[in-house]
Amino acid sequence: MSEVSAQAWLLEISRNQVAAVGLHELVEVLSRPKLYHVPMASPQSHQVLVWRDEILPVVDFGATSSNEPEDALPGGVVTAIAVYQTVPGEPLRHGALQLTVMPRTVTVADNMACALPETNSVIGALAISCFSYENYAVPVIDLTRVFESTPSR
Amino acid sequence: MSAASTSVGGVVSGWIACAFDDITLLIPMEDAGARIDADELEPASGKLQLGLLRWQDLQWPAYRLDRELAPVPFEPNASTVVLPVCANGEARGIVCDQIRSFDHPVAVTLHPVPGCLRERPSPVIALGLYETLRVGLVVRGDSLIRHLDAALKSVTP
Repeated sequence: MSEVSAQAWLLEISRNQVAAVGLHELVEVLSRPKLYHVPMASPQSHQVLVWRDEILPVVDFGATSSNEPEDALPGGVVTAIAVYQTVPGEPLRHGALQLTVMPRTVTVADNMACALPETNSVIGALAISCFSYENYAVPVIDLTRVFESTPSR
Repeated sequence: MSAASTSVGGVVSGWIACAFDDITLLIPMEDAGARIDADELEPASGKLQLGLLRWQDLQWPAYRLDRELAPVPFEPNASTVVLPVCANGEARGIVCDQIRSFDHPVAVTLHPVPGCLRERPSPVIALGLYETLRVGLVVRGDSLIRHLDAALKSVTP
């Protein structure tokens, strides 16, 4: 019996962190869009951008309270527009993810499934599964959780 | 009426855009008084107060906010302007770099604040899209005054 496989986007969300989403979950990549600050929010999510008459939240997993957002670093940062649906039948929603390099597609097979790394609690809480790829454990993130969940302090 | 419109409390007659420190507050016209120049403020001695403005025959303090909406020390200059923000018979002055008015209620399209941006309780009740591509933070007078009072209590004397 043949292995079931699917295409996914591999996202480098910080210098040493990768995650994945389904092939249909990325719709566009922007280069350095205008970002607007929103006060009293978390270091990972305190900005929005305007895209097709919508205001989208921007999540930057590479930003921490102790460093600058990675868009302050020279070169390489792109912003991926992601699409998700909170409930089947509801209108599609969009959000933006800051990436350190352009996303690329990978083929994921059932036999690549692995356990979530215990050290990565932020991504772990947003993951629905995980697969092994090029010596990385790659969490598959749930975009509804990424953009709709209120961050815990 | 959308969820965001409901959060603002219904239809407003227009908007005031009040810009400072790389952010813009969008305040319903019903919650704002006429702008004044910083040199019209009377001296004040309270914590982080930059001066006192007169509104409805009473004096109220004016503050400069940073991009986290916290009151901060500030040295007003010739171009500094002050927007009186009012609610429930109270007022506070917000010291801004620029104030603009939009005399039409639909000049600002309201959008809810996404869940991932709601880490702490905030006076920002919605996000506003104006002039096609600009984003402002929608606040009401009462929520901003409550926020200012709470923030000043946490400032070390």
